[in-house]
Amino acid sequence: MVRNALSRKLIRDIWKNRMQFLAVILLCALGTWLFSGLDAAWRMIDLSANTYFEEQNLADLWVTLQPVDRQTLKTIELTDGVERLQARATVNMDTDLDNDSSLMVTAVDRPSEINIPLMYEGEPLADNDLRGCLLDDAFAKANNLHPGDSIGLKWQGQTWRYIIRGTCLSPEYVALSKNVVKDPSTYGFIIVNHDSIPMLPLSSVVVELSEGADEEAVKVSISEAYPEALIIDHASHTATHGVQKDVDMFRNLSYLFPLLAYFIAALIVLTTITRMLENQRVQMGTLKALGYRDGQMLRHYLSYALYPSLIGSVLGLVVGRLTLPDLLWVLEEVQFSLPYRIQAPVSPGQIGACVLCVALAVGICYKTYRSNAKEQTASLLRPKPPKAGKRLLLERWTALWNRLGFNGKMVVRNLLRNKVRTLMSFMGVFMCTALLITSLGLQDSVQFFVDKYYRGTVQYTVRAGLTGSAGEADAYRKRVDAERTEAVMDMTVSARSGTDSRTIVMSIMEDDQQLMNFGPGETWMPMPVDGVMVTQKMAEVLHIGVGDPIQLWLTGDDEPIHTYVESIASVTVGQNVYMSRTLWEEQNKGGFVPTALHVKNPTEAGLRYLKDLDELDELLYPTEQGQDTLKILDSLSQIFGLMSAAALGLAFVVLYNMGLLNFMERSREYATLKVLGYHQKEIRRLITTENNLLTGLGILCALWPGRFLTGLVLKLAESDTMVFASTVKLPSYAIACVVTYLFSWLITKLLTRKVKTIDMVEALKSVE
Amino acid sequence: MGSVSVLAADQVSFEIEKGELCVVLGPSGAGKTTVLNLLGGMDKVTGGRIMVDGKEITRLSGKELTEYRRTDVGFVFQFYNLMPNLTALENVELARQVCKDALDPAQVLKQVGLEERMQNFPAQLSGGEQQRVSIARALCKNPALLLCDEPTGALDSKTGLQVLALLKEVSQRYGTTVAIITHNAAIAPLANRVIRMKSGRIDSVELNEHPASVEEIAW
Repeated sequence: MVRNALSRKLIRDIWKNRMQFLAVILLCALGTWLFSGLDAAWRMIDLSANTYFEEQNLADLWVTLQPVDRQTLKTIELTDGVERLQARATVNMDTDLDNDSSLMVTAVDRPSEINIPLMYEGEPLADNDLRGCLLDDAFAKANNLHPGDSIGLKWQGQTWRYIIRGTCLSPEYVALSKNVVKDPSTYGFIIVNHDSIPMLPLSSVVVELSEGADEEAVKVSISEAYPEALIIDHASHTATHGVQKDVDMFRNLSYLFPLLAYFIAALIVLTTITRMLENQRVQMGTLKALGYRDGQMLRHYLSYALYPSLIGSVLGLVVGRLTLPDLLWVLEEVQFSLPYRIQAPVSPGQIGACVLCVALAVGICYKTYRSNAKEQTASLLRPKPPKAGKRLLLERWTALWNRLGFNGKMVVRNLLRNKVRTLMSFMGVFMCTALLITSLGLQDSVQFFVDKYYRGTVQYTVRAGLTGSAGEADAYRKRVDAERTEAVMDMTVSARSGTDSRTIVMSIMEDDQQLMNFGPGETWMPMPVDGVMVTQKMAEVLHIGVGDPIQLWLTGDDEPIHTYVESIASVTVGQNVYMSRTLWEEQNKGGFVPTALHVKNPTEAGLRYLKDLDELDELLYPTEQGQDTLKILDSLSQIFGLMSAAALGLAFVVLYNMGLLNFMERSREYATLKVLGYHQKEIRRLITTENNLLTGLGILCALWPGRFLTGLVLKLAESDTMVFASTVKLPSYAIACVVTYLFSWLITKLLTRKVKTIDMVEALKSVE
Repeated sequence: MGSVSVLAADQVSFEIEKGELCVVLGPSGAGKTTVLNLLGGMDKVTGGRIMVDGKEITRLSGKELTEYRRTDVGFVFQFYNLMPNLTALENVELARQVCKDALDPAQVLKQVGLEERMQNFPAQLSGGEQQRVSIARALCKNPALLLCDEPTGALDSKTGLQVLALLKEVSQRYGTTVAIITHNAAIAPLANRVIRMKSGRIDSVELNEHPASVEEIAW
């Protein structure tokens, strides 16, 4: 009976304070939503990718060396710790499709037991099938190819035709891309049997280690036997490394953002619950006087925090797991071809987040309850004396204080009277502005990144890729009718410094090249003379700086080029090394055979000449490439949108709730003002001035942190081949400020509508 | 200045002369507060007329009522209703803000004997002092009608008497019409006019030729 009456009181209290309870529920939900969503997202990516790698038996090591002959295979196979291996030849070949597409050809010497293709359509490739191939499923879909169709590969002036037996995905090619982002319509992989194209030299070996083998020891024995071999493990392979990098990024984000959200949530819960319990003061005294035991009352009042926080955090957990992983998966699909996703089970961290949330709310509630319950019943029955006004430090500065005007003084005193509330509203505006700046700043930075590379670094109008049978560089220069034509020779090399090594592209360029701007701005950076120039990312991953030695191993060469880093190019894309033509020719490693031409402002005749070249591979226009990159990076805008929505949602809950609390807390003061003859307009102005002041302050203070947060998020999101410079443009600041202000203005409008409802008779009642 | 008259729907009608100190007396539930709310322009009548200073306030719009409260009426509340984060002086200035020909707040505070406490916040003042600030705030507007809702209700008897003495002085010195609403019959002898209410009706209206001084009454 007794409990019944109390729980009925609880339900009615909740209904009466439904806005506050709703705020607590929403904020608890927001915190756990962000955390459990991001947590579930990275776990899902991690689990999906690793399950995929496991199921398809991804190789443990990739060993690139030339030549791979019977002897080499035997030596590696007999190395302690090696379970099995497969030799293959990998090379890029153009297709005979009419869209300038090319394929990474993987010719295998035996059935795939390592890097097993995951079949989508058709049949697996038979061991002795010399006419068939397996085609990248994404490439096949984009080009409308099916099992039974045939595809031609151009190599050394010949076309090799294969019949598509099936389409598949391969675990080692999850991050296969020629440019910044993957484009399955023009690039993919194809798997054939090596016997079908025997003149292609075997160039690498994939190795599976036996259970419990020491990976480092295996690597050491292989490099002792073959010092020129390039060995790649999971930590540096693009597939595993790329996925791991994203997993790490989302995990880091899952700590950063929820921390901010939790901070706000905790403060809101603190103010709301403290206020609700304080309003219950006299009732508490009454219950005590009626003889309710402490335990009963404690249970009753703790329910105030328990139920909303429990509902909120579980809601957040469920919604977070349902929404965020799917949304972030879309981003993953831009970069990686993963065949399936596996929802990770609820992690202890997610449960922990809920428990933490509930514990926080209940803890705050308990503390407030205790401080009230400590008082004697009699004193509880008396209303709490109003908080005394205080002189402010600001008032000492009489020159300013006297200039404030009466309303100004009142507003300032009010803001400083309830510091927690003021701080909360301030934080609401602050977070909203900062998050909006970040989400807009991220877009600015991506735009800036594209502009910097395709408009700043790249100075040529078109790049003509050439096949192996290219002619003399000087001949092209004479024959192409353009403002300027330069020849470039790109080759894949293994760059090593100390124990770090990477397979990268080395570009050999004319000593006086002018069509790639390596400088950070307008300042021109000349080609290096004695050493090489590396990109920022290259320097970062190899841990090298200006003056450090670097070894460049050409494929199949047993003696590397020993040189040093002369300068670092401020290029945002790629891990590249640039060498001057003179230095290259001094190395006696071969002639300067152009693989591409950089052409600036060709005439129509010049362009036609390029198009008619027999050895032309493809024409690339930087302006188009920039647009394509932007288009694909557009999927990022989903995340930006989400962040902005979260920012506004957060701001709404905080500002409305705090505004409402403030209004209710002071309704008696407003009623008195009304009795004294203040017009509604004047009371509204008081509230508006106060909110405007807070909003303005919050917006101003958020400008720099917003920028900082942009940089932080970019740092976390940075991939292995791109350098993002954080840039926030002026219009973005302006938009963020205006949107936040309008938002706050709207909430103020909502609140000031309540001025009409103030009952003057309130003023006559006793304080309760 | 004309007389102040009240016509109520439940056939309650009375009038108060200008400059009078009038006490509206009655137990709780007698309708005193309704009378106060109506007089103060805080509530609207469903029928009948209220004339204040020749103005029929029952016909005023919401805005005009605000204007009426702003210039013509001063309120003294049972629980003072001072702004806790404004000093005594600033609380009085609050009234000057909205009134065209207001008196000097510092001067008024001096008159109610709070010269020394002007810079104090309400929490630093005793109940009697707070009520005097509240009266100063009402007087600052130089109102035609001063409405007091149980002005001594939250005070001990000694302080209460001081506040009553102040109200009486105000009515005598400035000719302000003062209406005190109370359930405390002991106050009645002070008034020129005593209106007794019971169950929403006027019980009696008594004129007091020789009102007692504050020293003479006690409770």
